[in-house]
Amino acid sequence: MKKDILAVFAIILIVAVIINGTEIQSVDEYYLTHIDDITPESETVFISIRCDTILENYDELDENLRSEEFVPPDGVILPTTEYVLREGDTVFDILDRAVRYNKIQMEYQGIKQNSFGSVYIQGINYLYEFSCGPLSGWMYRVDGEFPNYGCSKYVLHDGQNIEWIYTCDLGNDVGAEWISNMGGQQK
Amino acid sequence: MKAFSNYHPAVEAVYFISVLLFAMFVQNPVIELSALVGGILFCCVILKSSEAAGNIGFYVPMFFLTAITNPLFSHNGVTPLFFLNGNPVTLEAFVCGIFTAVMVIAVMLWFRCYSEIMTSDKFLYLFGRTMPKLSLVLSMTLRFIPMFKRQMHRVSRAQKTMGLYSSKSFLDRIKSALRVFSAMIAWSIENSMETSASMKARGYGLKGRTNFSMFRFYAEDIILLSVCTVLSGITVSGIFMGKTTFYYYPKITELNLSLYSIFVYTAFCILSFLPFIIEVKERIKWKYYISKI
Amino acid sequence: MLKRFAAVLCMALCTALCLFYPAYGAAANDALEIANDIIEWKKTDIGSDKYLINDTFLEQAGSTAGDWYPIGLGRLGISDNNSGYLAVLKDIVQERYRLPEKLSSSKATEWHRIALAVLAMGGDPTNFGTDENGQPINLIADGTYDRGKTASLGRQGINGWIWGLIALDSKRYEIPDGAFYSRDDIISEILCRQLSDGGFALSGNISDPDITAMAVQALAPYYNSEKRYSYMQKALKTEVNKTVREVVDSALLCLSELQLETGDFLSWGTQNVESTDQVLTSLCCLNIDPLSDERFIKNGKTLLDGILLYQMPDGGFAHSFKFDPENPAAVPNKSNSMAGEQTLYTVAALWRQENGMRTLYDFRSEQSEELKQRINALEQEISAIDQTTDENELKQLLKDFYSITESERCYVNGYWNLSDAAKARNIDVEEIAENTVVVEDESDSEKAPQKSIFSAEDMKAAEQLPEKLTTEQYVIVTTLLEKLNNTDDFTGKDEYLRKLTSAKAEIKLIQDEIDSLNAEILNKLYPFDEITLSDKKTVDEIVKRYNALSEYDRAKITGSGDIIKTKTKLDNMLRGIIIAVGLCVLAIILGIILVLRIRRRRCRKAREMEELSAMYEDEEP
Repeated sequence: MKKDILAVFAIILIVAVIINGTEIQSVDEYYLTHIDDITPESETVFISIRCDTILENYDELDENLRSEEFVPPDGVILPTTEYVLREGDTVFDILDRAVRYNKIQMEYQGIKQNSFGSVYIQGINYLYEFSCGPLSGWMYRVDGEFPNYGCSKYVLHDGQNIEWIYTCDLGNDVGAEWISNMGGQQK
Repeated sequence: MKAFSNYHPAVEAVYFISVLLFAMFVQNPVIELSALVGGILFCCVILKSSEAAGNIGFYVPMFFLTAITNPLFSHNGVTPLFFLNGNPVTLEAFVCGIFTAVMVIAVMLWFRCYSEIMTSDKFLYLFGRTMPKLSLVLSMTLRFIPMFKRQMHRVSRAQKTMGLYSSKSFLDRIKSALRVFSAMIAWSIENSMETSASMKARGYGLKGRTNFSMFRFYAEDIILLSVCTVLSGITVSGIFMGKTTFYYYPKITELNLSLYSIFVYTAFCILSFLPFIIEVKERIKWKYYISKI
Repeated sequence: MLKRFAAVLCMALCTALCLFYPAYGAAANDALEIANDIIEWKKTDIGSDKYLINDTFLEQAGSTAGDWYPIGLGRLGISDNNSGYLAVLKDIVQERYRLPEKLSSSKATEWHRIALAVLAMGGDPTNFGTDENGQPINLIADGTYDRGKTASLGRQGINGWIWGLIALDSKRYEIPDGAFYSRDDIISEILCRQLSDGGFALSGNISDPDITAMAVQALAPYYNSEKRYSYMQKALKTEVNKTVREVVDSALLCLSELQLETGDFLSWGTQNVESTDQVLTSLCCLNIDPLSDERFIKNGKTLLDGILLYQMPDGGFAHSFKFDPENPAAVPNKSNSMAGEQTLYTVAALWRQENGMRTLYDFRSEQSEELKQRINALEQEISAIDQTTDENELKQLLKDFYSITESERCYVNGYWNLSDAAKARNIDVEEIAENTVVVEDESDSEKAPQKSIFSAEDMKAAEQLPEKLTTEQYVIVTTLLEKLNNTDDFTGKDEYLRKLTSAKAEIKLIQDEIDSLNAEILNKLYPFDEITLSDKKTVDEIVKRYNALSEYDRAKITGSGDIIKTKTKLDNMLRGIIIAVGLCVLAIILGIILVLRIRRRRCRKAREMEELSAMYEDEEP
C-alpha cells in the first residue's frame, strides 16, 4: 500500500516534469544559447537605425530607392531595441547583431579594407553612402554625441544608447558639429 | 530479545526525544548521516528480517524521490550542474536534497523504532498521572486506529459471509462499504462510551488513585540516562557554539573539522548508536550464557 | 652580454629620439630616409621581411588600405613585388567587373585609385584584364570620361571630379570622340565649386585644407594655360571668367592662411598630418619648392616640419595627437596606416621634385635630357626678365615657350612672369601661341611590357601547393598564374598551367562556397528565437558545410558563433524530446506496475473470500 502511494507520487513528479519541459542543457550550452537573453543582471545597450533626413531630401535620393521598402515612411529602420552587451562589444558588434537578428541588409568595409583601422559602414537597408546626394552616408551617435573614430573602435558601456542616422549633408543636418575626417579623406 | 525496551520508559522517552530533535533540527550532514545509520542499525536488530526486506523496497525509492524533488524546485546555489528549461539545477540544491532525504528517512526510521519500543502502556505510565485526560485520549486514539481496522474487516467479512453484497457490481460494493461504515461509526461511538464509562467506574484520574506498573528505576537506567544526558549535552553545546553550523545555500560551507566539532560528532554518533550497542551487547551476552549451559 | 645589450638599447633609444625630435628645417634630401622609415614600419606592421607587398598586404589590394602604399613605392622608384600586386589586383578588378555596379555604384574614385596604383606598379590601366564579354577593361575610360554614362562622376561630391581629373591626366590620356565628359567639363566642375575664400570643401562654406590641396593637385597641369573658363561659381552665385592660374593662386593663398604656426593644418577640428601631406604634395605638383616658398613657412616652420611632428619612434606616422579619454582604443600617439601612406607618397613627390623628375601624378616616362635643358634655359631667361627687357626678347621667349609640347608646358616655372610682362607691353600672347610651331620632343617611347620569367623558385612554389587548397593560397596561385601567362614557352609549361588553372578554379569555388554560406547563414539562422526543429535539416547542412571548410576559410564565415549557437539549441531541443519520451515510458511502466499490484491484491482478496465461503459451505444445511 505504502509502495503504491510512492509510485503514485513518482508518477505525479514525472508528469509534472514532462509538463514543465524537459530541455536539459549543460552549463556551457545554456550560456551559449542564452547569451543574448536580457535578464535583470545583464548589461545592455540600446540601438536604433533611422533615416529621417532622406524624407527631407527625397528628390536627391536615387530613383531605384524611392520605395517604402527602403525608406520607411516614418524614417525608422530599426526602432530603439535593447541588446545584451557582451564583454568588449563595440558599436559595430552591436550593429552587426542588430541587423542580423532583424534581417536588415548591411554592407561594410572590413578593418583590413580601409586605412582608418576601423570598420566602415557603407550601407544599411540598401541605403548606401552617396545614395542621397554627394554628402550622404551613415553616421552614429552614442548618447547624443558623434564620436570621431570608427564604430569598431568604440567600446561600449552598460546603458549606452547608439543611434545610427543617415545624413544627407555630412552630419550638418543631424546636429553633428563636426564629423570624423573619414568622409573628408576617403576617396 | 529487546534489551532496549527493558529500560525505564522515562529514560527511553528522553532518549528518543533527544535523538529525534537533533535529527530533525540540526542541519548538519554528519549529524544526519549518523542519525540515519543509527536508525537503520536499530531497526535491523529490533525488526523481523522479513519485515526489514519489505521496508527496504519502500525506503530506498522514497529516499531517491525526496532527494530528486528538491533540486527540481529549488534553483538556489552557485554551482549549476545543468540547466532544466532555463533554470539552473545546482550542486547545492542536489546535496541539500540528498541530506533532506537522509533526514526524512532517519526520522521515519526512528519513529518506527519508537512505536516498536514505546508501547501504549509505557506511554500511559509516563503521562497518565500528569496529564490523565490527554494521555487517555492519546492512547485511545492510538489504539483506536488498528482496532477500527480490525473491526471493519470483521464486519465486512461477516456481512459477506451472510451473502450480502457479494456481487461484483461497483454500485453494490459502494453500498456495502457505506453500510459497513455506518455500522462502524455506531460501533466506535458505543465502544468509546463503554471504555470511558468503565474507566470512570474504576476511578481513573481521581486523586489518590495509584497505578500499577512493572517499571522500576534500576542502576542501569541511571547509567543510561546519565550517558544520554552527557552526550546530548555535548551535542547541544556544539550546536550553540556553532560547531555544527552548516549551510547549503548559496554555497556549501566547508565541514567544520576542528577537534571540538569532531568531538561533538563522535558524541552524537555514540548517542545514535546506543540502542544498537545495547542490543548487540545483550545478544552477545545471551549467546555467551547459552554456550555456558 | 648584458653590457652589449645595454649598448644596443642605448643606440636604439638615441635613434628613436633623433627621429622623434626632428631637426628644424628638415631638408628635402631627408625625403628618401623618411620614406624608408615608413616602409620599414609598415613591413614590421604586416610582418613582412622581404617585400612590403607580401601575402598579407595583397589581401587588401583594390581597397583604400592597399592601393596607396604601392603608389608611394612606385613613385619612389622602389621595386617591390610589383608583378604580384598587379596579378592580384587584376584578378580582383575582373571579379568586381562581373557585378552590376562594377567597382562601385557611387564612388568613381574606386576607378581612379586603382588606375593610379596600376600605373605606379607598371601596369596599363587602359587594358587591365578582361570583362565577362572578353573586352579589355579600361579603368580610365570607365572611371573618368565615360563614367557619366552610368553615374555622375560627382556623385560622391567634389572628390570624384578632382580624382577623375588626376587619373585622366596621369598619362595625359586622350579623350576619344563620343565620350561623356570633356576635360573642360571636369575642370569647370572643379572650378565652380571654389568657395569665396579661394578654398574648396566637401560641403559647407568653410575651406578644408585636404580638399583644397587635392583640387590644386588636379588643376596643376593647367596652371600655365592661358585658357579662360566661364562658369557659375556656386558659392558666390555669380558668373565668373577665370584662368586656372587665378583659381589656383587664390586657393594657395587660402591654404597659406590656414597653415598653423607649427607648420601643419587643422581639418575638421583636428590638427593632423594628412592635411599637411596633401598641401605639400600640391605644391610639388605645381613645381613650387615647398620648403622655400614664403607663403608656407610659418614662424620658421615649413610644411615638412609640420609633417615630421607626427613621426613616431617606430618610423611610422600618427594621424593626430588629440586623445579622447572616452575611447582609449583609438590611440592617438600611435603610427597609423593612413597617415603612413599619405606621408609616403608626399615624400615621394618631394623626392621626385628634388631629382628633377615628373610630378607625383604624372606617370608619363621621364623627360628627355634635351627637353629638360630647353625648359631650364627658358626658366633662366624668364627669371632674368625685368622692366628693361626688350619687347622682341619677350616675344622670342614666348615663342620658345609655345614651341614646347603643350603637355610639357606645365613644367616651365615662372611662365606667368613672362606672360604678365608681355601683356604689359601689349604683346598679343594668343597670337604667338597660335602661330608658334611646336618642336616635338623625342621622348623615350613606351617600353614594351617585359616578359616575366617563371623561375625555378616559382616552379617550386607551384609544386609545393598543398593538396587541400584554401583561400589562403589565392594570392600565390594568382601571382604564379599571371607570371606563367607572361612567360615564354618552356617544357612543362602546360603542366604548370593546368595545375595552376585548376588550383585557381578550386579556390574560386571555395570563395563562392564561403560567400553562399555567409548568405545562407544570414537568411536562415535569424531570428534566433524562431528557430524550430523543422529547421534542423537546414542547420545541420550549414554546420556540415562549415566544418568542411579549412580552418583558414572558416575565419571568413561571419556569424560562425551563431551557427554553433543554433546547432546547440536544436540539439538541446531534440534531446529534450528524447528525455520527455523516456520519462513518459517510465511513467507508463510505473502506472502499469501500480495497476497490476492493485489488481493482484484484489484477486487475492476475492480468493480469500472464496476460500472462506468454501469453508462454511458445508455448515449451512
